[in-house]
Amino acid sequence: MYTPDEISRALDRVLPFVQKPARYTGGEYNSVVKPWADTRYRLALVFPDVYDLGMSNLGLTVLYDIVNRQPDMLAERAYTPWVDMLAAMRREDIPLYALESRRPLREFDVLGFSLPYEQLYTNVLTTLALVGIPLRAADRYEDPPLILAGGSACLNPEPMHAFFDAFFIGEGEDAITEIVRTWTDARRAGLSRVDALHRLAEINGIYVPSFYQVSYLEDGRIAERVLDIRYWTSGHSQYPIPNTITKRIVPTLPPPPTKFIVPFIDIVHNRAAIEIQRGCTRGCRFCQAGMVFRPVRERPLDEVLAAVDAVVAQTGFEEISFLSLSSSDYREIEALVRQVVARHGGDKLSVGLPSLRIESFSIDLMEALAGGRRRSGFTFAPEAATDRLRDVINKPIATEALLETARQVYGRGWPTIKLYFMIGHPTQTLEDVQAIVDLAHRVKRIGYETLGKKSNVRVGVSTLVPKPHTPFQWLPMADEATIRAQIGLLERGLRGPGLNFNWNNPRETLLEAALSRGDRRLSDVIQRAWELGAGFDGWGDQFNDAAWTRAFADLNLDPDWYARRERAIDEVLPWDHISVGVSKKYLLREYRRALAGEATGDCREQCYACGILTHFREERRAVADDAWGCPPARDRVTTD
Amino acid sequence: MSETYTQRMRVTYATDDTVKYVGHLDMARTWERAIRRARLPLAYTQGFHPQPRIQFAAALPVGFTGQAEVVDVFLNEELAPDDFLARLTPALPSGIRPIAAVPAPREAPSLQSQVSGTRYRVEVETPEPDAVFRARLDAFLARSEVWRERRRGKKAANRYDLRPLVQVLAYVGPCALGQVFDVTMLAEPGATGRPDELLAELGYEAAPRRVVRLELTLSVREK
Ligand code: SF4
Repeated sequence: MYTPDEISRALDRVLPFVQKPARYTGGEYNSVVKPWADTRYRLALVFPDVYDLGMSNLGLTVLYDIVNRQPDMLAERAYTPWVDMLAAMRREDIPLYALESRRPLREFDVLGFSLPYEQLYTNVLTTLALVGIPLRAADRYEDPPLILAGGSACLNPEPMHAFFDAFFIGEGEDAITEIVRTWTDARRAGLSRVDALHRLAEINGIYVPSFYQVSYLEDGRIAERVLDIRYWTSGHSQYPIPNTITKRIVPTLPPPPTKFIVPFIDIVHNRAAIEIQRGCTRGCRFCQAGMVFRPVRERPLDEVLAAVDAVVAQTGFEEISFLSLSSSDYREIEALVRQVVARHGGDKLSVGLPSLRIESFSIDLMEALAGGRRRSGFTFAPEAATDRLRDVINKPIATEALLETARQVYGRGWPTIKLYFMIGHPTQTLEDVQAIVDLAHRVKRIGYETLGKKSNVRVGVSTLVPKPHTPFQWLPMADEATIRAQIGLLERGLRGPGLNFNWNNPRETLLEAALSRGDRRLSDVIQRAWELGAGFDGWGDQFNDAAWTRAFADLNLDPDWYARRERAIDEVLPWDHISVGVSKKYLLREYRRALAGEATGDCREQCYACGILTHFREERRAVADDAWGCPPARDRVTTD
Repeated sequence: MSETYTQRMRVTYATDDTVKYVGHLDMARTWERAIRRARLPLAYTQGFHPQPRIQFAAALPVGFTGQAEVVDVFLNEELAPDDFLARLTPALPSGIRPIAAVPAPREAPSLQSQVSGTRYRVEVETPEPDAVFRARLDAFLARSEVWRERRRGKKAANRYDLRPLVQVLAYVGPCALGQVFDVTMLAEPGATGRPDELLAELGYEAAPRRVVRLELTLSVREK
């Protein structure tokens, strides 16, 4: 086994020859290096993509902070090395190590992977191989650490079920220390891996895929999912394995981290981020985040302001971004902006406020934040270009209101408006696609009238990928010929001075769509694609279409079957045993309303009984009436 | 320009293995952020894109550590050097350790233009016994000229004589990695010697090495 010194010496042989070597050395300000021998519980937090991306992941920052606050625990970091470093490490036989201690990851008790999206799946295998442990959970016997995953992609854990010992479903702030302690204590007490997993399964939110079995019908659909009889009992746990795993939530948001690790190199988001609100009440039907992060919980204004002060003092970052799914809905948004500017206007601090609604108030906010600085782009995401289609996806904004907002944006001196749309919404016609072109031109004309030649419009178009746990989970994705024809139409229409058009590669979209609603059989496909050279699937230039096509073919499976098949309402879905607290009944109601073109309101005004209050009744009771966007539990009995 | 700052603080500092792969521009940003964390009254240039007034004596090549690097930090307020250091030190990453701070003459030329020489300690991996290695160094010293080509980006290769850039070349002895020598190189505008060029000339183009910059010589000495 390698010592930290041996790893450092080996690194000196390879780092002079790789890009951005400071990705691989640690030592950043605010990184926490604890004494290894004196710290009982050791967690490595792994982001299965490069440092530049992983360092910007707020979830891992939160967990790093929580775990390192525990006197008897340490959390360190690891990322997937970029392809040049990967080759060098394989050549020199350097195992993946954690940046803080430079100890091999194998020596940790738990490896906690962040799995926010499907494009990271093959990188998980790359990373496990570099750690030097068996890829498949079933092949891990006594020694290796617990291989755990958390994050949004775990809401359908099945495609990656073979590679993880356990998944954590939901919000990990309260659970992470419990998980690390439970596993480590069980193993040190001499329990086998299986028995230790039994102990782990007692923790709310933990899903151990090996305890379940899935059988299939002849046509490939799931016949049933049952508890695996071999794991019914354990000498060390009286706890019955649950049929359904409900996500874990924190009733109130814990204080935000402020001691962000300050990278040496320039990374994707070279700034601090403060979550001002979790959850969203708007109920856009395509949006997984809006469904799965319920209920809405706001962070009190005072807490946000104190965090900003602390971040400035503790990191020196030039930029802070306020995160939420819908900044405009934060009740004290105006006071927040005013006070941050008053307190830090002189600090050369720029403040990001993404996800603003399409209304003039948003311009007021951005103007206040920009102060005297140069104004650049303004981003809006109408997602569809006609009033009718926006009712279908439940993002109702009138086209006229959008144009009026655009007029004001240009009028107040912002030269660029970015508009994001999706194609492939249910009931979409070619007219709806053409409407994107027309709308962009109308915005462009307004810009020209208001600001002249320097005004411009940037249009980004992606294809709808129906996601688990959304009202669109039963929908087929549009077929490739249709998508290409629609992109062609957009491309021809969105030419000209001051217009810019961007779209996603339909092949990459297909992979995302197949993986996101996939079942357990996709584990073999993922491994096969990886063996054939797939990796870094989210990086356009690395995406290996041929490897994926062949992998599906080798396993006699069809990505279109996963991505482009309409599911019957009574079909057993691969993720049916994972509950985010939103009932299937509610999703179905929303699905039907979508097809009927009926919008549903904002549930801050009226509760639509989505299931959250039924599932989290106790959590709701534990907090103040105004702590959640949902009404207090006693006001209403939800029945679903 | 002189009106835009009050004090020019010259800081000598050491860097260790944890920051040796940080490139020069990233190092500059690291200092700027540290100074912001320390809430020191850093001066900025005037104009539309104000830049922090921090001047490094010489970029430390990636992979090298430094024992006595030098940077000038321009301040809008007069501070006692001890006070300045007490605030700055905890705000820097642990791999950057300030050793001393002294106010420098306000009107002295840019720090970069004052550097005239650099001294390095070089450890290089080699199986060669002491005598053979030593002979290699002597052979280099015995030459009167050593022409090499240096390529910068897409520009045409530039031919230059390495020999006069090497002022002192002294064998130190064997080490765990291989052999050790010290070299003092000329560092003047347009005539800067680099240890990796010397290593290549000695026949160690790609050999693993550890290089420490021991010292920078500033040609305008302050009292
Ligand atoms: S329980 Fe009601 S208020 Fe709460 S998220 Fe669901 S629909 Fe909205």
